[in-house]
Order: sequence, then C-alpha cells, then structure tokens
Amino acid sequence: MRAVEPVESGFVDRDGIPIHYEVYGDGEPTLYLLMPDTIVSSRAWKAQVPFLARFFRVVVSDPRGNGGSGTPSTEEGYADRLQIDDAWAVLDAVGAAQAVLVGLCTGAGYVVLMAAEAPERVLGICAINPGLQLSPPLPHKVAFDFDAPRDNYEGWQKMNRHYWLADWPEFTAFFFAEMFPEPHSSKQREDCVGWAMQTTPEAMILAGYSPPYPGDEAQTIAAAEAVRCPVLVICGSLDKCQNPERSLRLAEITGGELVVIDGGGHLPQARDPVKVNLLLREFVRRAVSGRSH
Amino acid sequence: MKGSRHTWVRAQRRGRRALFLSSPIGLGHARRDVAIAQELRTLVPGLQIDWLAQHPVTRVLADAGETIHPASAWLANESAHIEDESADHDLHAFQAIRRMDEILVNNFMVFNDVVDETYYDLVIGDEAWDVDYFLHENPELKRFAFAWLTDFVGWLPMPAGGEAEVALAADYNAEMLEQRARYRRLRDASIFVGNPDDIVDAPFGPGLPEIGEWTRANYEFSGYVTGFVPPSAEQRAAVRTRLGYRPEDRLCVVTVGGSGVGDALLHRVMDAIPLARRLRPELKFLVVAGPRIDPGSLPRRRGSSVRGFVRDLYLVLAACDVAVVQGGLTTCMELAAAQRPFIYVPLENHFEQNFHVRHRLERYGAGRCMRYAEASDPAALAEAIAEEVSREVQYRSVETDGAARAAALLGELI
Repeated sequence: MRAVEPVESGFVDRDGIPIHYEVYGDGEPTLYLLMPDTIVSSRAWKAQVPFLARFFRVVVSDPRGNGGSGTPSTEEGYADRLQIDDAWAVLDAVGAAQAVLVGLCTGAGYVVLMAAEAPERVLGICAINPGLQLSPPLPHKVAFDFDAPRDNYEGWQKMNRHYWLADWPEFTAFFFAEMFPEPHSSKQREDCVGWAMQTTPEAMILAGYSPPYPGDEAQTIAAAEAVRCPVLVICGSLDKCQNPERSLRLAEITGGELVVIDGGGHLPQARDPVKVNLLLREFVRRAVSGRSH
Repeated sequence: MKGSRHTWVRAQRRGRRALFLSSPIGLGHARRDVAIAQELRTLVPGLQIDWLAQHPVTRVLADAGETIHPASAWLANESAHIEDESADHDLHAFQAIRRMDEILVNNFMVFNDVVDETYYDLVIGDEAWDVDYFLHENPELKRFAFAWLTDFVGWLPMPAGGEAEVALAADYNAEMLEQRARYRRLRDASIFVGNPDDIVDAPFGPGLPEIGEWTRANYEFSGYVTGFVPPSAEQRAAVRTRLGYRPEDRLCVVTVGGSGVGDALLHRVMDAIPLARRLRPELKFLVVAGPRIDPGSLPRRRGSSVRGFVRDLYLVLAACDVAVVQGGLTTCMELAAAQRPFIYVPLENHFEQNFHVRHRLERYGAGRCMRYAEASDPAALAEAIAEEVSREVQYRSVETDGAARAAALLGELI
C-alpha cells in the first residue's frame, strides 16, 4: 500500500507519447522530482514523496518507456532534448510557473540544463549523482563493447545489448546489485528490478542510442556555469553508475553545496531516505527563503 | 526561516515528558502499553505521556483517556497495509513488513519532526520498527532516552519461502545484529515482554548467533504484561449476566484481533456454528468482529450474536467456556492467563504466530492449535469446539506484575 495518494494525476500528450505525472500535497513551492531513466519509474521516489508532500507540492512523472508513460519505437523518441521538454510540459500542465527541481543520474543532468535555459522558472536545483559530461565515465562502463556479442558475460560485460535481449532479468539483478553497494539492500534492489521489468530491453537499447544533449563536455560546462539559482549536489562515494568526480565538479562550477554520502551508492534516496529527505526539505526551504529576501 | 518563531525552554524549566509509540499491528500492544504507562505515571509523578499512534490503537487510547499527539494524523496506516497484504487466512508477515517500507519511512519522518518540536526525556517504542531501524541508520537523530519493547526477537523464514527466504530473513537479522553491535547507545533499554524461556530455540540464520542466547545477553525481561488483574469468579459471572447469558449456557467467544485480517476465520467459525450446536445445544456464540471489520458483513446464525468493538474484551474472554481465536499473542495469552480452554488458528505464513507465539503457548501448555485448512472443515472445527468447551485446564500461571516491572525499567531512564 502507498503511504499517500496523489491529489492529481494525468498525462501530457507529447506528439502522441503520453507522459504520466502525479501531484502530491498542496504546499509551496512546487517541487519536481525527476527520474527520467527508462529503467525505473517515478515510484523510485516513494520514500521522499509522502514526507515532502507534507510541506510542498510534489510533482513526479514517469520516464518514456516505463510506468504510465508511453514507449517510443525510435531512438529519437528518447532524446534528452525531448525528455527535458517533457519535464517543462509537465510543469505547464500542473500550472507551476516556478519550481525547485530535484534529479537523479540523468535527471540530475536535466535539472542543471533546465536551470540554465529558463532561470526564471527554477528556484533551486538538487542534483543527486548527476549524469553530466563533466568527467570521463567510470572505466567499467566503457571497458566492454555494448554491441559486440561475447561467448561469456561476466560482471560489467553484461552491459551488452545481446545479453540484455537474452536475459534482461539477470542483467537488472546484476546492475542494481552494483547500484546498491550498501550492505542489506535487498528490498531496494528488488524494487528496482521490479520497475525494470516494467520496461523492455528493446526500449532500453533505443534509449541508450538516443541523441545526447548537450553534445559534449564544453557545452555541459557552459550550461553549468549559467546556473544562478541555489544548488545542492548529493554524491554517493561508491556510485558505480556516475563518476563521483562529476558531482564534485558540478558543485565547483556552480558554487553549490556538496554533500558526499560516504559509503553510499547510486540511489541514496532509496537506501538512506531519512538523510536525503532532511537534506531536501532544508534545501527547498533555503532556496525559497533566499528568493523572498 | 522568514517569520518563523521558536521558544527554547531552559533545561530546568522543562516538565518530564515521554512519547509512547505502540505498534498498531496487533491491537494487544495498545492494551499492554496503556498498563505500562499507568504504572510509569505512578513511579514518576507529574510525567506527561503523549502517544504517537494510529487506528486502531487510537481507539484503545481514547477509551483509556490517554493523550494522542496531533501529529498522529500524519502517520500512514500500518493496519490498512497489513489488511491489504492479507488474503483469506494468510498473511506473509515478514514480506508484508518489508513491503511496508515507504510507510515506515513516512512514519519515521513524522516521529522525527515530533521530537524536534517537543522535548522528550524518553521515547518508548513498543515494536516501533521504523524508529528503531532508522535511528540506527541515522544515529545523530537521537536526542532522548530510547527504550525498545518487543515480544519476539528474530525474523524467521516460513518453509514455503524456501532457501531465498532463509537468506533474506538472515540478512534482516544480521543487519539488526550489526546495528546493535555498533550503536549500543541508541537504545537505553531493550525490554522483552515475556520471560527468557519464551524465546524460540533457533539461530538468527546460517552462521549467526542463537536467538535465545543473544536475547538473554542483550535484553531485560519484564515478564508478560497482560494489562489486567485476572478477574474473579464473581466478576466473570457478572460479565456473563451483563451480556445476557444464563448460567447453563456454554459461551464460545470468537475473536480475531484488532485488524481486519481475521475476516476469513470469522466466516469459517460461522460455517461451523450449526454443527457445533447440534453436538452441544447449550453452546452460545459471541462473535467479536473488532474495530476494523463491519459486523454487518457477517452472516447470522441461530445461537450467535455478532458485535463490533468490545471494550475490555479480556473480561469477556475470561468469562467464556471456550474461545476460537487467531494466533496473535495478546488474545491467546489473555486466555492463558484466565485459564480458559481455547482453539487458536495461526494465520498461514505468519512467522510470529506460527513460531514465536506457538512456542510460548506450548510453554504455558495453553491452547489447542489448528491449521486453517483443518479449521475450514466445519465438522472438524465443530467437533474441536465441542471437545474443548468447559474442559478443565491447568496452564502455567501468567505473572501479573509485568507492567510494573516494565515501568520500573523505564522509570530509571527519566
């Protein structure tokens, strides 16, 4: 059973692809939690939503290819640019002229880009383990060819389209074991594997080949330099998805606050929900009070 | 924060105050906790006790005139979740609690705000899983003495769960053992509501310590807390008269605890009533649906009456000639303490009812256990009721000073 039910839910139509969103609570300001990676759904924020909705108006949406959102059949259908515009469309649909944005991984990259391109709409951003081209990727993520078939798939060799198509459940079990290096994370891993079963390896492969935005490191730095609102960066020191260097650099460039979770992995909002919840509430309050002075 | 106001009270001006958290999974926690709270107030005059509680615990607290903290309204309901997880007479308690994770986070956050806003000398958590777990995960959030109460220690796998559940239960137990080893200071008291022999004879999991040995080394024992003095023969007779039963009637009380999970068993008993009355025409059935089952949803049977919530159910149980109940600890122990014959039907896949409670009842020599499949045969259940009714029983006696002993342990912390 859910701890709290949405006060509003709906879809925005994005050229035939429905994007599902939910709204919880009715406080101020609007707080949009972004989780746009196809492998999970907005339920990945389930430990944050009930708490934060006591104080703010919380918006979540499902990524393309998962949850209640539609599944495009082309690589272009998963383009970062399109998904950032999905997020703006959701904010328009819920009538939020301004919002604090929180993102994780790819979503953390989006909130930086959104703050850069429409500063008048963004009160503050929190980036958790940002997926931004601010450092080389972690070596294990690029050590093996994603497209080449192999005789055996060990460890990160499973990051391979052929393996995905052959045994998607096993890949997700491996992947989320890596994402939660914290001991005793069985429930969090199970949850994520369950959400991954709501999408398909075919959709994941399309999403993996979608056009990236922005295109390179120089453009990413320029976007981060353009951010003017308060910034909080949360970084798991043991993150196996995004290079923790990216968090450090984002905090440096934006002059934002950096909180390192020593011993934490890629999804601290699930594994250390109390700490993340308290950080988020304090950050939102600070971001809003900064505005009103 | 703009416009915010705050008062800091100088330490010596603060009144003594405790916050009581009583698990709503099993209504029995509420009754024993009220008894402990009453004892604690006599030990610590002037002590103010607030309750952070949810339905159906709030129902018991309201009857007892206790103070419910307004932030209780923000708690997500654990009972509703457990009911949602149950089907027929089956509740996989371990998995249901695992799947309650977002409710536990929500409720811990409510708790955390409450202890931020009010000075509490002591927090008492009777199976307040959220508070104990997340304090150990966030030790810097402790700013009060914390006493943990429970009547069982150790998640135990059910056979149907196979090897995977063995590993999972062991992992949960290992996490708890690691938390306790690293952060002794998080709990100022660990109180087992029962006696050392009540603990099951099993390890926490492969390669982990024995539950009994570890618990004896890490807990204090209050004895069982019934929350009442066993009623006298006169009191029992008065209850029967109040309820409208004649001396020659044989009264069978049917109750399934405070949650809505027992609905299926109530129907099975209803199926058996006509047969049981054919075997023993003097049998009269009083079916107590509890605060979360609509009495109107149950069929009507000759010789039976159905009621919703019954205040002081323990008195009614003490006045019965036989009872049919679920395998919950409190109701079974109330019957054991009152020396009444009873049949208990544990929820299938409920590790606490099937292992922990059953072990304890066997130690007392109390009750007759029936599996749900067996109890679903109306003839078998009717026959068991007919055999048990008015049977002379001689259970090991249940202590009556448990609440006072628990309160004495708590009083030292204020």
